[in-house]
Amino acid sequence: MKSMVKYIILFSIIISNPFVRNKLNAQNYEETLEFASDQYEQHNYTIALKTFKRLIFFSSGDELLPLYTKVGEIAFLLGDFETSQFNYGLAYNLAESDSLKNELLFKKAYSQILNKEYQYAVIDLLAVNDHDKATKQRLNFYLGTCYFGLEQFDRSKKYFELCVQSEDIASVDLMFSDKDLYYPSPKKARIMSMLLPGLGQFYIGKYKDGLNSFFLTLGLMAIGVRTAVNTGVVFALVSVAPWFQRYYTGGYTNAEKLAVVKRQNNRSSIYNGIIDLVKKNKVD
Amino acid sequence: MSKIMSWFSALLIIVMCFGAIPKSNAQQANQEFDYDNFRDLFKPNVHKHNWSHHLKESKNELNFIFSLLFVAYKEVFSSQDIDACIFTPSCSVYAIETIKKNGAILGTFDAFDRISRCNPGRNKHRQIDEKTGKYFDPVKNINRKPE
Repeated sequence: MKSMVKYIILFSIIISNPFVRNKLNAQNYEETLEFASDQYEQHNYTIALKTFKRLIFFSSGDELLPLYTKVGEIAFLLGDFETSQFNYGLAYNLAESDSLKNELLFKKAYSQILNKEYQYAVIDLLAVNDHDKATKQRLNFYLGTCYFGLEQFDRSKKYFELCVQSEDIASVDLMFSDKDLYYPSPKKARIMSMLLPGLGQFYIGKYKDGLNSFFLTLGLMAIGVRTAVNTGVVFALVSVAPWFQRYYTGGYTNAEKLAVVKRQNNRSSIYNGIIDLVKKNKVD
Repeated sequence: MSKIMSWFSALLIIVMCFGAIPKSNAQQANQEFDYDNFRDLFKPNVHKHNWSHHLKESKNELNFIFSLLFVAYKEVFSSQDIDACIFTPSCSVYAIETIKKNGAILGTFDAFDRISRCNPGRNKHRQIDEKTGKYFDPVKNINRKPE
């Protein structure tokens, strides 16, 4: 008990010492803000995010807007798109000027687009106040991108056409040809490979894969028939049929996957072409 | 001459006035906005493996033969197969890695052991890889001590 009292007295003396007390003080608001900004500058985004969130907890009024924006920015850099969108949304509610509101909406929409939430991005973009030409062009580009992601190509084309000058509208039209947008058809590739292994791959233009699939399935079929003739149908079904099924199924599944990738590549090229056109017509 | 000078001064004043108009925040933001950020947005995220590095990394002839068999299997058979293996890395990758690490004899044993485990029955206790959703069982987890 005596030693306990001794320790309490000693502890009280240490704590009451002005020098120690000064050292024990928690960081104040400015110091924390400086620390968070430093962490952000040094690309330590996880620590910066945590600190900015802590600052938000202790902030009010005008201090909140830049903090929400910063948290949105850092969360975006960390690939946490939900947190990013949420904070940009909060910042938007606090922003007063139209230009800042627009900028925050564009940032939120970009985050949604990267997260493939095109429908939500369209809804948010409806709130953009497009009072000048550059904002209008940017808005149309964002909307075109969203509808492109939603595979509503007619709408997308309409918005991209609004981004370019009249002499380039024909180029946009040309880029949005059905042949490039919908070729190759994954369903068609799958059915073709079901009918004849490798045919779907040939349709896509993957000749090596097509031949590989054809000869592999044909070889397994030949082994199956030979086994059935030599040792009986039951034995062939038990020993070869599972392998045949695997590679036959694999053949048409792969044909479909390859078609999806090729079609996505085609669409990506079209989209990149649109970006070039819009860049050429950029309004400052 | 003085007429030309006065016209020139008037023009200069007009140009200076227009130049002095500050750009609005919106204009600045739109100028900073870069369309190239959207480039390749719709590019499919496909990672194609290149297995040939196993051939180059072979330390001896036996290793090279096993690597050759592995690459041939990957290119000809595995590329046409369904995604049937329940592990990550797959049984064939595991086999070549353990053969390279532990030698042909022990490696072959490890490979057969792995193939015998490649069914959903005996792996409930294993960690699941978040990316692939498969059971995570790398070569470094090999434990030769009896459990």
